[in-house]
Amino acid sequence: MTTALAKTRLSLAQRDYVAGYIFVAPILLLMFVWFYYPAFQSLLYSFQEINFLKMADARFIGLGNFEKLFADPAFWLAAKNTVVITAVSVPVLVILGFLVAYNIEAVIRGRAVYRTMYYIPAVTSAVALTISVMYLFIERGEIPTLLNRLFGIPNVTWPADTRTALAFVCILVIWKNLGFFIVLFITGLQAISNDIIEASKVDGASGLQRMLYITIPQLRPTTSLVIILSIIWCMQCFDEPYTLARSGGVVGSPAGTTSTLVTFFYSQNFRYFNPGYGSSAAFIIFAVLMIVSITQRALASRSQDHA
Amino acid sequence: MGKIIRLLLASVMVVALFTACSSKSEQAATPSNLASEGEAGPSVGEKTKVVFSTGIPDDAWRRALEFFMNTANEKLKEKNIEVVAEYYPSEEEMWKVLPAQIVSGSAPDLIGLNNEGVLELIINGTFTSLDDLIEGVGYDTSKLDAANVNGWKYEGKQYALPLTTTISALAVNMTMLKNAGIEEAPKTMEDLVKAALAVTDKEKGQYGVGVNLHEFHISQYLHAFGGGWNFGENMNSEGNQEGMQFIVDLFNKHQVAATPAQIGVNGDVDAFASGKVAMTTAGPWYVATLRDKQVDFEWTLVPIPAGTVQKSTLYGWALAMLDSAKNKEAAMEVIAAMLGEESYRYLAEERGDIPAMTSFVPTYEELYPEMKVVLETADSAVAFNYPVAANRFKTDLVTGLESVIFQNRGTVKELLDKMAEDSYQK
Amino acid sequence: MNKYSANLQLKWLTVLRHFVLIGAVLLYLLPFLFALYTSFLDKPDIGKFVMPDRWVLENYRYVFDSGLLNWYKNTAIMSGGIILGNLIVNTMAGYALAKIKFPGNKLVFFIIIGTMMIPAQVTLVPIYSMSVQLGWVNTYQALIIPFLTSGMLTFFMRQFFLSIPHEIEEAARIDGLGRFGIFFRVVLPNATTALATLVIFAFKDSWNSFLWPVTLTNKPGMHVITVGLNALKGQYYEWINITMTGVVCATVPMVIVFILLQKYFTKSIAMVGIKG
Repeated sequence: MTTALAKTRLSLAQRDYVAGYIFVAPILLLMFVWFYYPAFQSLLYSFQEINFLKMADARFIGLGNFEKLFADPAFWLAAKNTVVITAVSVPVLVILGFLVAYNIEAVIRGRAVYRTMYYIPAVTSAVALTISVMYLFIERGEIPTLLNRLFGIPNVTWPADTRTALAFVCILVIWKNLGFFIVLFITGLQAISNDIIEASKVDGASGLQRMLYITIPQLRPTTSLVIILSIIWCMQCFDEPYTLARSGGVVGSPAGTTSTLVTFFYSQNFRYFNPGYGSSAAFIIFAVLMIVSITQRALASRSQDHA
Repeated sequence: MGKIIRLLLASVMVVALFTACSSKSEQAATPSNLASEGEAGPSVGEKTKVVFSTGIPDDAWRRALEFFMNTANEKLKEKNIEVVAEYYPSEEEMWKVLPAQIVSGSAPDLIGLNNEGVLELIINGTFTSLDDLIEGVGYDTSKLDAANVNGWKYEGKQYALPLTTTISALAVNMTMLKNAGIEEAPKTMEDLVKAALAVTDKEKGQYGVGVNLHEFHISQYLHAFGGGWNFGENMNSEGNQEGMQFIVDLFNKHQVAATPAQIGVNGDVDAFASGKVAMTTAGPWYVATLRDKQVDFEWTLVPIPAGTVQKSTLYGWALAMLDSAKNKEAAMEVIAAMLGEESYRYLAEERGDIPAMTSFVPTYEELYPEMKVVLETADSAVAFNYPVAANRFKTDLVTGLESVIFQNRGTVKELLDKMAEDSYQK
Repeated sequence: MNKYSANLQLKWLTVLRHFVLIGAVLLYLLPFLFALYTSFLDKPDIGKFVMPDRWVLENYRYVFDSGLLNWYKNTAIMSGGIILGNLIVNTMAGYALAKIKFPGNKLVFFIIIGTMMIPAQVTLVPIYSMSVQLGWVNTYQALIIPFLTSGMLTFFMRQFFLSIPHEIEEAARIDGLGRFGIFFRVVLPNATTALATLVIFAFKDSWNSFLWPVTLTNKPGMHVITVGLNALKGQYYEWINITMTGVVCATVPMVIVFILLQKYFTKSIAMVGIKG
C-alpha cells in the first residue's frame, strides 16, 4: 500500500492528507456502524409513537413526543435532579480535585502512594462503589449520626429518604469521579514550568499568592478539560440511581427524587416499552451537551486569544 | 518496520471488512441463529429446538429450572424435540432485550415469568393463546390449581400454565410481639396496628411493620379493605382509598412502619430477618429463606389480616408461549413435559415452593407446615389484575405513594383519582 | 522572616499536609475497607465488629465455586480485545487529528467527540438487533467489536500528541520518513506513557461494564464478572458478606493493573493538560 502511494504523483501535502484519512478511517467506520447508526436509529424514534412490543404499528407524530415531554412533571423532575447533580458535583469535583492534587504535589515523600490511593475509587465500578457506600449511610450509622450532630441533617438512611436521596447520589458521583480529576490536576500541575515557579519565589511571592496568581491561571486548560468532562458525565448520570434500585425497586425512588434524564429514558424505553418517548428525552441530553460544549469551546478559544 | 506498518494496515482492513460485511450478511445469518444456540458438536438428526428464556435471579432457581428442562428433554427424546435455555440475571433484563428479539426474529419460544403484569403482552399479541395447543398434546389442566390457572386467563383464553402457586401471607416475629406483651399474631388490621404500636421503638431502630413500597405489598393492604385494581377500572374505589390510607397512617399517623430501604437492607425478607421489623406482608418464599438464614427468633406466617375483609392474593410462576414461536406444537410439547409430576414434586420437596399441581400440595404442607394456615385461605384468594400498562402503573403507584407518605404531597384520594383518570390502558 | 523559621514553617506545613491527605484518603477509601472487612465475615458476624481471628475465607470459596475463574476469563478476553482495538484505533485517530491538517480535520474531530454527548444507552437495542442479525449473541465479538472506539480516549490521545514538539517529527521527516514511518518509529515509541494511560481507561470501562454484557449474552458460560456477581444475590434476599466479596473480587484486578501501570500513568496526562 505504501509503495502504491509512493508511485502516484501526489504532492507532499496531498500525500499527508491521504495518510490522515487512512489514520481516521477505522475509527470513523467503526463509529458510524456501531455508534451513530444505532444512536440515530434510536433518536429517530423520538418523532414516532412506538410500542416496543408492536414495532410494526409505529407511526410518525412529528414533535408530539416533545410536546408531551415538556408537559410531563416526571420529566421536569428528572431534568431538575440532573441539573442539581451537575450543579453540585461539578464545582466540588473541580475545587476538591484541585486542592487534593495541589497538596499531593506539594509533598515529596509518599506522592506516588497518594496518587494510587486517591485513584482507586475511580477504577472501580459505580455499581460496586454504590453498594459499599450505601452501607455507610444507614440510619444511626456513624456517618449519618456525625452529620446529624454537626449540621442537623436528619439521621436517616440517606438513599431511602426523600430529603437526602439526591444528595446521596451527588456524594456517589463525587466519590466515583474525584480520583480521576485529581490525577488530571496532578498532571496539569506537573506541566507548569518550574522556571515560572522559581521566578516567583525569587520575587518573594508567598505560597498562597503563588497558588492564586500563578498556578491557577496556568492550570486553565486542565480546569476547562475537567469542567467539560465532569459536566458530560454528570448530565449522563445513570449507574448510581440505577444501582440504588437494584433489588427490583422503582428506578428513581424514593418518590422520584433520584431520577435523572438517563434513568427517565431508561424507564420509558425498557420498562414501559415506549422508546419513542424515551428517545425524546435522550435527544434533550444530546442537545444540551452540544450547546454546553460549543459554548465551552468558544470560551476556551477566547481565553486563549487573551493569553 | 515496513512489515509492522503492513501488518497494522492489514488489521485495520480486517476490521473494516468485518464491519462492512456485517450489513450484507444479515439475511444469511438469521436462519443459523438457532443452530448457534446449541452446544458445539454434530447434531443428531433434525432436532427441533425450543428456546426457553427466563430471568434466573439465583442459583437454586437455576438448578430447579435445569431439572425441569432435563426431565423434559429426557421425555421428548423420541419426539426429537429439545429445549434449550437463555438466562438473564433477572426478569427485568429479559424484558429489556425481548422487544429487540421480537423485532429481529430471535425471540425465545417460551418464557417463564412470575408476576401478573402480563396483560400488556397479551393485549399486544406477544403471547399466544394455548387452548388449542393444550388440547393437541392432551395436557390435563384440571390437575392444576384452578384459581391459579384462571389467573392466567384473559377473555376466556389461556395464556400460560403455572408451575408454582404463590399466596400472600403476613410474616410475624413472635419473639418481638411477645416481648411487647402480645401473645397472638394479628387477625385484623386493627390488631396489626396495636401490635405494631406496642413493638415500635424507634430509638432502638425497631419497627412494628416493614412495608416494602412495591406493588405486591401495597396490593395486600388494598385487598384487605375490599379494594383491587380490576385491570385499571374503578381504581379510586373506596376500598383502594381505605387500604392506601391505612399504609400512609402506618407511617405518618402511627409512626410504626419503615421500608426495607429505610433500615438499610435490600428487601422485605432481609428486613424481617434482621429482626428490625416485627411484621411484614410476605409469601411462601419466606419459609425456605428464613430457614436458610437461621434467624434466632420465633416466627410464623399467618393469613393477611382482615381490614374489612380477609383476602389473600394468589398468583403463580408460569410458562407462556410467544406468538412468534417457530414451532408452536413442539413448544407446547415442551410446556407439557416441563409441567410433569417430577417438576411439581421437585418444587414441593426441594424448592419449598407451593406446587401448582394440587396432588403435591399435601407433600408441601408436610415439609413446610409453616404455610398451612395460609394455604387454607387459598379459596377466597384474588389475583392482582393490574392494568395493561403494568410497569408504568407500578411506577406511578409506588412513586406517588412515596410522595404522599414522605413528602406530604397530595392525598391518597388525589393520587388514586389521577391514576383512575389515566387507567393505564396503553 | 529568617531562614530557620521559614524552614520550620515549611516543615509544619508538610506535616499538616500529610495529616490531612492521610485522613482524607482513609475516608475516601472507607467503602473499600468496609467491603474488604465484610468479605471476611462469617454469616453470624455480619454487621458486627470482630477481630481477625474470627475471619473466614468461606465467602471467597463460595464465589470461587460459583464460577469466578470463568467470569475472569470471559472478562479478560472481552477487556483484552477492547483494549487492543482502542489502542490501535484511537491512537491513530488521535495522532491524525493532532498532527495532520487534512481537510475536514475539525469535522472528524467533532464527529468523534460527539459520541460523548449521546448517552450510550440509546444504542443498546439497535446494537442488540445488529448482533442478532450477525449471529453474534453469546460470542466474544459481540462484546468486543462494538466497543473498539472511544470518543473520550481519542480526545485524550489527540491532546497528548498535540503536546509532542513539532521538531521531533520534522527531524524524522528530513531523515526521509513518511507519515507512517514517523508514527510507528518515532511517535509511538515516545508515547508509552500515554498508551499506558489509555490501557487503564479502556480497561476500567470494559472491566466494569454491565449493561452491555448482560444484554448481549444469555448463557452462564458467557457471563462476565459484573453479570456473574449480580447472580450471586439471592432472589429474595442477600448475604452482605457474599456481595462484598464480589465487590472485592471485581475491584482487585483493576487495582493491580493500575498499580502496575501507575508509574507511566501520571507522567502522560502531564502533557495532556497543556493545550486546551
